[in-house]
Amino acid sequence: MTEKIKRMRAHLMARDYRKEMTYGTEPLPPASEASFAEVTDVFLKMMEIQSPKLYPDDRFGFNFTYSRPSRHARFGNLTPNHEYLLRHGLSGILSRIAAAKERADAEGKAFLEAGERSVHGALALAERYRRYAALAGAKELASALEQVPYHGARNLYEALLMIKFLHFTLRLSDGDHIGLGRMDQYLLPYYASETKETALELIEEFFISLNRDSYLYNGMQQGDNGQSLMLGGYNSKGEEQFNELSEVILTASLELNLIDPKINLRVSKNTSEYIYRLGTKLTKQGLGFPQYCNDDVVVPALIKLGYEPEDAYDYTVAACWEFVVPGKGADFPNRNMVVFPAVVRQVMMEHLPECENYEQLLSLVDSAIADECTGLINRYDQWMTCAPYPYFSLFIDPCIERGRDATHRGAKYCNFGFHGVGISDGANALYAAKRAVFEDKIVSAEQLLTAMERNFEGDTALQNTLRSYPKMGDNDDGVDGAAAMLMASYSRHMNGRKNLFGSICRAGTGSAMEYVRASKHLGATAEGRAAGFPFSCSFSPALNSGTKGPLSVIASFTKHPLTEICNGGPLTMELHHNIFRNEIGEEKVARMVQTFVQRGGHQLQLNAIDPARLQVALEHPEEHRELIVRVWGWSGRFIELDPAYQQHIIKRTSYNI
Amino acid sequence: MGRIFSIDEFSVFDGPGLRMSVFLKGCPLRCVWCHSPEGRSYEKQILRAPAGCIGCGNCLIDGALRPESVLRCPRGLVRECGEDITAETLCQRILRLQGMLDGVTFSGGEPLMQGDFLLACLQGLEGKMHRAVQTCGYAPADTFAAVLANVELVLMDLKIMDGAAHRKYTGVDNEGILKNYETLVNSGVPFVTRVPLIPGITDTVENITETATFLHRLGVQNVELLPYNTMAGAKYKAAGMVWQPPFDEAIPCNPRKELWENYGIEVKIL
Repeated sequence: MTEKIKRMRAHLMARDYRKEMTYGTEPLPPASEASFAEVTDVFLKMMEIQSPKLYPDDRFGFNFTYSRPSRHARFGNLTPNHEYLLRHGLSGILSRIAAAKERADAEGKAFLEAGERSVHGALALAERYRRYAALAGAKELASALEQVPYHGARNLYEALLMIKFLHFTLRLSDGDHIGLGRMDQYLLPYYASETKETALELIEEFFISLNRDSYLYNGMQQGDNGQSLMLGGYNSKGEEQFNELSEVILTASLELNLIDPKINLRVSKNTSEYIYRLGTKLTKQGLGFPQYCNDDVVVPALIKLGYEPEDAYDYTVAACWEFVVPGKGADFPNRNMVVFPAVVRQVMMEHLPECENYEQLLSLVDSAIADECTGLINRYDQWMTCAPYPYFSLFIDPCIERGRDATHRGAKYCNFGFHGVGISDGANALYAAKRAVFEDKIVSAEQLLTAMERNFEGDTALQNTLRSYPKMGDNDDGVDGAAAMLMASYSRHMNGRKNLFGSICRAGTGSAMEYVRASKHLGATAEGRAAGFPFSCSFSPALNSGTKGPLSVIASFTKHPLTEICNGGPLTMELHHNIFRNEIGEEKVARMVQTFVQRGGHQLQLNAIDPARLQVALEHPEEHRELIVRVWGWSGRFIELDPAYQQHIIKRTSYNI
Repeated sequence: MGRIFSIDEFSVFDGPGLRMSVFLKGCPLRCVWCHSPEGRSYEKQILRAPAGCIGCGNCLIDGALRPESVLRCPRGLVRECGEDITAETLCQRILRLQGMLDGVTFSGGEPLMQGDFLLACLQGLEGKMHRAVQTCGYAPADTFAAVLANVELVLMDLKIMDGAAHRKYTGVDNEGILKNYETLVNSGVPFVTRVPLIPGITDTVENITETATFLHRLGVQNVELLPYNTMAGAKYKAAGMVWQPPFDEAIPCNPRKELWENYGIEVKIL
């Protein structure tokens, strides 16, 4: 880190600048029935209220000085088309709008005019910043703002400034969870004229600026703000896209050790050990990223769903881990979910006593999943029910050309994604019932259900026996077979099916926050889980399942092909931070990740945790303010998390040495 | 038939590559710094995790923890430590992960204390993956030689050179250990020498000088030093034992790198 970066980082961490923030309630966020014009009025006002502000050493500006609660039905989890804006600037957008207006219908004209007005408002904001920068003696910024955002960027600084400006204005338009996309690809042309050192400093400045206002952003908790970027990947010829800039970006993240941006890394079975080592160095930091995404599974999965190959090869992640196409995808990847432990429990409660064998039980579960899926697919007769986002839509193709807002299906891809919550918990329950009732016959179906209804009161021995059966993550073919059945069923009844208005439905293995939320209301389950006890996080072993080790976990979770359940949803593993204490440990973790990918895993996030430190952090939060952990798709400061999530992370199996 | 007490699938410091460590129960030594209370005794033990215990007492049968206690804990905190397994079954279990593993290390406790079982396992894995054994070297010479003929790597400890001190702090003589070590060095089998650094006991100038002299005489030029693990006492409570080391855990150990280097020995601190 240069001295300047050290200063800027210290300024960021001190947080004093937050005291200058003004809060209010105006302009009120638009109601869902708001028109294009009303929405744009609000956006313009939000921009006008912001006073230009520069912090020490700040070359990017576009800082929040005023904040108010944003819209309830937020629009986001998308990645705008950075590449076009960088090359053509807002003038390019205006040209396209003008051309599209000529052939637009009434709705199209209303949308495009709103977009045009928004752009002019944004340009006015940029101009105010330019004047302010000139007066304040910030020559570089003032000079750059004569070029961007109206014209395209000419160098790396202007490119990053353009991105900063775009994301700032998108936030002001009440957009949310805005991804940074494949930065190492679209910034590459601007990297050519830099040295590694100048590029590194610029990127670090940019990253620091991303962290400054993030406390204002909406999310389930602090850290959940969608500032994710993607590195690497393979094109249709199988060529490695990870480049020198990718490495500079990783170095920036490593040096800064900040929550944002969240780094994702596209890999395949051909990825070099060198790249896995770089990723592991970042994992060792304990930030909970990079999150690995396996092209070998994801690209074919997207193509199978109907994405065009060249778009599939361009994928990134939305906010957390949902796969989207940058600049063209307005997919709604967390529309709803299937909660497997709930489905399994319901079927057992209603039908287990009448089942003559395990196969019958599985068949009934399959039917129940089919019904769930059909219900979810038919539930939505509208694409979105919020007010339009004409400004955001300008950066999602081909909204302008179609003359349709992204909330009115102007984007190329408007698909739905559904989570798959608690797959391992559901599998564990099925297998436990198989052993207890049908194989070992230690209880009748009725006895098991009664014990479950009583939350195992007075049935400790039975509960412990159920707990002792193999779990998903033990590399046991019996229970892994139950998991495969659940996943195959979900894929069959959901994946690729079209809904009432033609969106494709994507089945996934993620859980978002539901592993805590949905579990609270579910009674005790057949694998010995107590009532209200949390499920596994996304695609992971059940909590307290005490698995055999990371290799068995990998074996269990890569047994069933994942190309048909690929909405997103990573395997999460906690490794004890001791493993990383020298080069030997680092090398082995890198190899382990490689093994996961080679075996067909789709997504992986690793936490490097010191469980003892987590406990201490609970008792002395003031001394552990900067301790960062991976939660369910993003990293957050541990002491700022909701206690239920803190406990979940502490309990997650930690692979000690 | 043999008895193991743990399998670590992702063993980082016990041999090259992606490695599994299998821990055999029972050890003839009683090192005062041992971090593995459940590895010392061959007998099966009942462990009860102290964290999360609500003190309901349901686990106690006639005032003590017994195998039946395992099912009686409402929080699932009680487990039996020590699994009897045949060499064949253990090899099958290891080989289930064959595609993901480079090798396996047999450790413990002291794996050579179950010599026949260990040999059967090693032979069962011959040609299938890299085999290593981690040992303190306290074993009959013929057992030791037999193991050498069936491994790709040996990790052996040298703890204390002075016979009286060795007896005092580990409970046994070291004559046999030193002889076995010489056999190892002359056998041609790849090996790693490990010295645990226990403050005031093994990291003294005397012990390191004597050890370095011994190694130098044998032409050994590398050693791995294991700094004392201050979490050593962590498992004692669960095993119902008291942790009372006769040394001050707060004192940092001293690797004395230069002293080793005087004898031409390169040091790696783990």
